[in-house]
Amino acid sequence: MGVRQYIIKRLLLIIPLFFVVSTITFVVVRIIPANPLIVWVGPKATAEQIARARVELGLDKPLYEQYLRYMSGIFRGDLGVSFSSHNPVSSDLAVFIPASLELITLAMIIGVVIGFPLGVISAKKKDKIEDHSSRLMAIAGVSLPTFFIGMLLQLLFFKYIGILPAAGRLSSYIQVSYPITRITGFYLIDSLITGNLRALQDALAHAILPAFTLALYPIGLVVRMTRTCMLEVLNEDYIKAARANGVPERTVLYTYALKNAVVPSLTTLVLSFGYSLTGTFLVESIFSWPGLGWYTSKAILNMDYSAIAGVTLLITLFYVIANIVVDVVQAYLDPRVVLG
Amino acid sequence: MGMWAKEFQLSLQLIRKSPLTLIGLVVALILVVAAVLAPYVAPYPQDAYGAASPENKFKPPSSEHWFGTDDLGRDVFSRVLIGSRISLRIAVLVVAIALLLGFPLGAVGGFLGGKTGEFIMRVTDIFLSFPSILLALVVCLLLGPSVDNVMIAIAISWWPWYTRIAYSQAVSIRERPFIEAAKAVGIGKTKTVFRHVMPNSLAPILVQATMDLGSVLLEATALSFLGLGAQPPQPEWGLMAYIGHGYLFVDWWCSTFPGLAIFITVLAFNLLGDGLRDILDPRTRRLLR
Repeated sequence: MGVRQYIIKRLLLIIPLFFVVSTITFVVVRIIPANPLIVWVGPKATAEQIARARVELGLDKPLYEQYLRYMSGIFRGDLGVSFSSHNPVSSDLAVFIPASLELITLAMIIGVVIGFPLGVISAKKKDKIEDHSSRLMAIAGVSLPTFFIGMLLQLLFFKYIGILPAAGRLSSYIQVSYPITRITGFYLIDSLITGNLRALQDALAHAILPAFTLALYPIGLVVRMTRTCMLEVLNEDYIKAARANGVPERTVLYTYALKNAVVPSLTTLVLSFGYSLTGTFLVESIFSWPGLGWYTSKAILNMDYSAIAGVTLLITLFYVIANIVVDVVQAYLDPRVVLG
Repeated sequence: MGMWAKEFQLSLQLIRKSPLTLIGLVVALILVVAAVLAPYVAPYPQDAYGAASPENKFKPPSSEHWFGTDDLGRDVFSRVLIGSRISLRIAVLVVAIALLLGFPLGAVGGFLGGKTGEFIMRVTDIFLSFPSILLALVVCLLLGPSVDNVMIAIAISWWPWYTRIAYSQAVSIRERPFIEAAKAVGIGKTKTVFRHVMPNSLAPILVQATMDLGSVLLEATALSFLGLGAQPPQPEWGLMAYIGHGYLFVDWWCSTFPGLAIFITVLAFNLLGDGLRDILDPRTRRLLR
């Protein structure tokens, strides 16, 4: 099957899945125990106000009509109105998604920059002290609760050393004196292309701790994966030939051998971020990072069901697409993988 | 001495040779004993579920309160100790439910193959494609936040992993001569699956289950930290860490000790599982001996 056909087939399969999930979210939002109208109009509303809100939100219509409206809205990108912020959920999400993506991208970069060299070292020094300590570190890395390591980093770098901010995405004085012009929603990119260096520096300082916290778990996975893949090839003839020909050890390790580890390690990295969505939520909650997770936990507290339903749909979509991307990239990089 | 007893003894010998595995096993055993005895050995057992004493709040760690006291003046050490019962209960029950559901399903699917196997694996794939945080959100919306609902959410997203392992095991066992022999002497399919296929795929399942005790605990405490799980005044570790996080920079002990407890428990299960993998794998087992 061609790549294009495969992608089309997988994309078509999204439609029934999306249909099922959105029906579930519709049902959930409608049968919930708490009355969403109370959240909408506030706790001290009169009966008249509640009645008006019921009409405004279309909750007086028969259920099938509400369902049709909801479903047709979704396909137009309309996820309903947030009960607590009174903004359309889709426009709320447009603000919070770039913040999450910025954090995840940074964490990925950290994962690559730290994970690969550590993996190479532990393969090169197999069964030596470096290897054992990297194994222990990897196991510790996947055993550490995200919030625990986040708190320790906050204590260390904010309270005791005092060089990094503990929370937020930007200092308030920077927001006032050097506001970032919104282009992509990524603070680091926006401040860089507008030449707003003070804001860039501040945004970077805010991002380091949460991004590192988020990266820890994937680093552990990448180290183990890189090590395994490197060990497989280090005894191959072409590596021996390269060494015999006097190719510098650095080039042998980082260019010839690492090539074999790149694909599986990168796949692991990407997948681990998909599967550690909970981690993103936790990190955002600990560092008050105004992203999707922060938005969601606020929505949970406020019982803002349309917001939660919107996030649920969005995560589902993100997940399915990420899985397709991983499959296609894998097939592209490794000819042994057959799409079907 | 029977074959099983011999193999068990050999496993014990192998565990003794691997220091990290031994540490994992010992810590895990200590935790189980601590959880069982917690209400009797905790210095302030009444603090676990309430009993606020404001005059004692935010005392730093001392000989009187080993882990300090929290925002309501409760002894953090007693709460962490008694909280281990909640944590171990979550981990064991979720893994047990996932095992009971996933293991037979995968074994049957892999053994029968064909349309039935295909169907079981497709259903499994669908469940695998939902992240547990999503299921937790939906379950929380439907049933409200609580420890039991978090367990339901995690169990729903966990069983497919066992189905996958059991399936691939059963597919390879299906072709082995002793299954052929069972068929030849007229042993029924159901009996073959439960008496021959499942016992022979136990090792990798057991390794996965041990590691999962840790992963489930991480997930459950994370969901509690996000407000989807345990509710006050339960001494649940994730919830304690969440409440303590609000006072982190002044009274660090309220949140760091529950966090440390989670870390040690999960690490113990992971070390044990990682070691069991080498010990139970027939290929490395011979090398270790």
